[in-house]
Amino acid sequence: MALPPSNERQLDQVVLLFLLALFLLVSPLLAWWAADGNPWYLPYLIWLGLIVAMYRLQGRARKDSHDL
Amino acid sequence: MTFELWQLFLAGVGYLLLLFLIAYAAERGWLPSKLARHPLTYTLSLGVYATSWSFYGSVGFAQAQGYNFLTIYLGVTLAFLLTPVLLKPILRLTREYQLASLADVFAFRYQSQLAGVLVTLFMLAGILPYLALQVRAVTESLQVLTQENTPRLFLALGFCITLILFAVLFGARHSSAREKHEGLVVAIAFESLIKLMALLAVGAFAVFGVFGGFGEMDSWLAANPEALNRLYQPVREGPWATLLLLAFAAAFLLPRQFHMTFTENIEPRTLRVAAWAFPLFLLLLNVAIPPILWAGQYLEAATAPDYYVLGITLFGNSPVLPVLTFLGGVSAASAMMIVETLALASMCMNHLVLPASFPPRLSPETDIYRWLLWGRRVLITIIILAGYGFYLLLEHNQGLVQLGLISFVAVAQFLPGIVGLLYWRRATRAGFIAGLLGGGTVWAVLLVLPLLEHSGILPASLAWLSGWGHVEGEPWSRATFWTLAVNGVLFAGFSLYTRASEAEQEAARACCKESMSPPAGVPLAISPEQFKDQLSQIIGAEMAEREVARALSDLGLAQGEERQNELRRLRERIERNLSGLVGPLLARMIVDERLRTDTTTRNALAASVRFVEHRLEESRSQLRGLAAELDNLRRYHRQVLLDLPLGVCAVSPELEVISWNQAMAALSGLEDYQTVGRPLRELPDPWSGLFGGFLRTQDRHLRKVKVNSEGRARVFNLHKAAIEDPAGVDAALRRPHAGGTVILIEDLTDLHMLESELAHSERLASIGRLAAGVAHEIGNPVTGIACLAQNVLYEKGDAAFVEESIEQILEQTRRITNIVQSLVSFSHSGTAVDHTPAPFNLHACIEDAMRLVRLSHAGKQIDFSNRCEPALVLHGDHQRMIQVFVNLLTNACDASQPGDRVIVSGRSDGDFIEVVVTDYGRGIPEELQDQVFEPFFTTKQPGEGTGLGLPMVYNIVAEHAGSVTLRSRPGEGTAVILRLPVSRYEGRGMRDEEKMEGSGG
Repeated sequence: MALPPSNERQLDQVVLLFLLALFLLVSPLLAWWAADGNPWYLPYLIWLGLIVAMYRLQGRARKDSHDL
Repeated sequence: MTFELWQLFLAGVGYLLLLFLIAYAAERGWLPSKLARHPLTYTLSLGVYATSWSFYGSVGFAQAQGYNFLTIYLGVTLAFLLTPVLLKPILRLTREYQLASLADVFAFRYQSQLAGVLVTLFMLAGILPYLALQVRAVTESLQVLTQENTPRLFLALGFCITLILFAVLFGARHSSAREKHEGLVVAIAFESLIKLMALLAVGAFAVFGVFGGFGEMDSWLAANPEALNRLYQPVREGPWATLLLLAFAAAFLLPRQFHMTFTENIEPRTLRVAAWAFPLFLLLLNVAIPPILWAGQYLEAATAPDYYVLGITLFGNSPVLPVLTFLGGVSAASAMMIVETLALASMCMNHLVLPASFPPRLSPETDIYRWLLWGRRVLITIIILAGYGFYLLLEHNQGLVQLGLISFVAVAQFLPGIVGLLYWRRATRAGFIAGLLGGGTVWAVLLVLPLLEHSGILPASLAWLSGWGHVEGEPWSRATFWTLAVNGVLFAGFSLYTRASEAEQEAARACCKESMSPPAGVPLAISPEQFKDQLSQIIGAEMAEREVARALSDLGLAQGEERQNELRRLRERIERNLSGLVGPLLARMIVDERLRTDTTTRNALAASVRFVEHRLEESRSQLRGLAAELDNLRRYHRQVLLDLPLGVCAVSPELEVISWNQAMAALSGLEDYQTVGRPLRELPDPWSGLFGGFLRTQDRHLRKVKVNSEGRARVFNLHKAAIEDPAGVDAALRRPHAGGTVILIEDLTDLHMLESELAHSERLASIGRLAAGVAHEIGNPVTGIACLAQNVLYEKGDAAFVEESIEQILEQTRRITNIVQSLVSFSHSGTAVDHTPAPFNLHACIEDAMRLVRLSHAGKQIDFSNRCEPALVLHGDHQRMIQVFVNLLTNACDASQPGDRVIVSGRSDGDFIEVVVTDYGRGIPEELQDQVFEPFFTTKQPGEGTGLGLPMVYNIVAEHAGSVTLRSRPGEGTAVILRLPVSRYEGRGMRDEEKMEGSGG
């Protein structure tokens, strides 16, 4: 039998990425990156990191499937 | 630097004209269609999310709430991270069922007009303050640039009227929201681009124009650490999580977001790019906000922080930047108002206006398209003017953010409904309505009443209620918690307590992609013409004509379509198309009333199988775990069936083709799309007659059926079996019972040719064995003829002698002719399919065979006796039966001693004729008796026998549907018994002939 379809892996990765984003944004970790004295662009860097991760996931999905 | 009002007015009007031009160019096709379909255009069009609240208000929000302002965009990022599991299913649903707004979606899911009405009213209530906010932002930005304090009400009105014109011309060009507006999408994308450019330009001005570079800005921050701390501190203490949740909901539930993300989505694949590109757009839009805030603080700008974006540009030397920024603000406000209004107009039309007026107040004579188009235009006007009215009423002290967040909390009330839409099938309309009413009431008390009270328009009798909303600090966490808590508890409680109706359950299954059975019932109308007649009684002839034609074209069906399954698909399609026009509930009502179905007729198996296969193919990317494994298994089995080297055709109990594999396509020259789903009788000749006739017979196998196909004679073996295991099929298809028949077809044409060639070789071998006898038989008369001729030469004068001699010569010649004819007839090489069955006399056939065998040396010494009943007539292939008897008699001769007898007897036995060839020779040893029918098995010396004699006898008799058995005792002799059915073979022969005639053979 074939491996789990690639779309299933992609869905798993999307959910994991969402959980990671929640972990970064709404957990005690928030106090770490929102501490006084951090560079002003740190929240933007975290945001950009999430976007890049999503871009990579979508790029992989585009290669694997051609549906909607 | 200050500006005159007329200058800004001209700039604004010029910009809006440019917007008209861009939209017009896209609509007329002057701009390439690829541009409107490009993922980046789609992504930019989603930028309608960023309104004047984002454009101007973000800086004010940052001043008050620090980095909490980022939540409004980070929440959207979270929602777009979930594109494959959240946005994609909604997009698929809206496209599949032509649902144009959130109210349509909920009305469809919960099958309730009341749900649609409530959603519409709630949206209106939640969004009107937001519209007012946009008008206010534009007028206030004018005040900042002109340094005047009196609000320009007439300018606000002019702005609203321009937007009405734009929305009517480019957002309501068609009668329904089901048509995509390329001009609108391109124009909104252009507006987003202007917003982005303006904010980035102001950001660059703040860093380089105000501070003098990043280094200087950092130095200023180092010198004023409290400026940065004021950004970080509220994150740790403020309503960060609440705002994230509100923005998450707003990302796809705000009417304008829903409209641009789903309704105006031209190319579904663009959503995949938007999943990362839209958050990136938002990031770029916001990266300039902190520098602008600090620049405002650094310059101690006189404007309120909400307008620092505009205020700091006045410190520059060039008038370009302030005007560009002003236009960015106009873009943000106008885009939001246009799209929001279109979305609300569509909701109001489908859920407030149409249910109240359609039918019976509209007569079939009304041009409904025109009515709908103008209805939408009037609604657009009313909604924008209502926004303007709200703007006049509102107290101007409310910050931009406050008004925006009130709307955000309102749309968050649809989150429980979305859970029911996509994941929780148990959710019912009662739960949804109760939750919405509960959450809405709490929202009104905690957020709206204090706003009205603050603006001085709250009736005194309600003043006591607004007290609930007064809190210390920010009200959002408390309001969000209580609205969602009340909403969620009522939603879950009522859903668990009540039961969903059948229609609601079906819609829930469709939304959760769990519906695997086609809708029950068969349309009573039997042609698209009848569909038109029926529909025209309620929606008018012209509209009926257009809707049926559109649905036919969507499905790729012909006007003359009569297949029941296809008509049912047509009915479904019409309902969905109408749903895009008048909303899902009205569409269902029209279709249910006019295109009635016979619900007592169960679904045809072929239709159910096709529906399920189609559904599985569509949902493949959604299957997970065991379901995905089962689907893989299904595909594997299906592929086995498709690749089977035998032709497979499965037929439903209703005699429709369910399956048609590749071998079958190669055999017949008909591809599966030409046959699957069609009634068997509609297949072209010879297949319809062949399969139809075979299904009618009791026989499970038909052997060597000769058919003329594609201009050549073919030979097939047919097998059939009832498809059993109905339990498995039933469970999947929810049918009372299933069944059908599978037909396997073997192409024997090549094999048959080979057999014929082998038979011919065997005949030639027989002739070789007979050659010596033949030479002798011919030699004797030739010698006789020579002697007689010589005598005639000497006795010329004796006329009587000459005459007698000539007669004897002729007699000898006839003898030779007979021998030669028998040989020629015997060795005649026939092809596989040219033996046309015909009646012949069995006694004469045996006699012919004996005459041939007597030519051989061994045959001469045997006493042959033909005891066959003279009147027996067999229907079959005369020539091949001679071959049977020649082979049997030759074997008998070879086994016998000179002078022995070989007896052939034949008698009728009911439906059979039994022929026994008996010799009294040495017999066959018992251990060899099983092998004698195997090809190339022989007990004779090398060169004396080919080993093909008895196998050929077996084959020929089998072709005549008969049987061969052997009875032998070593030393006593052998009896070969042939049983040949008279009627069966006769019947099959008749069918073959019919088919040959039917296929033009």
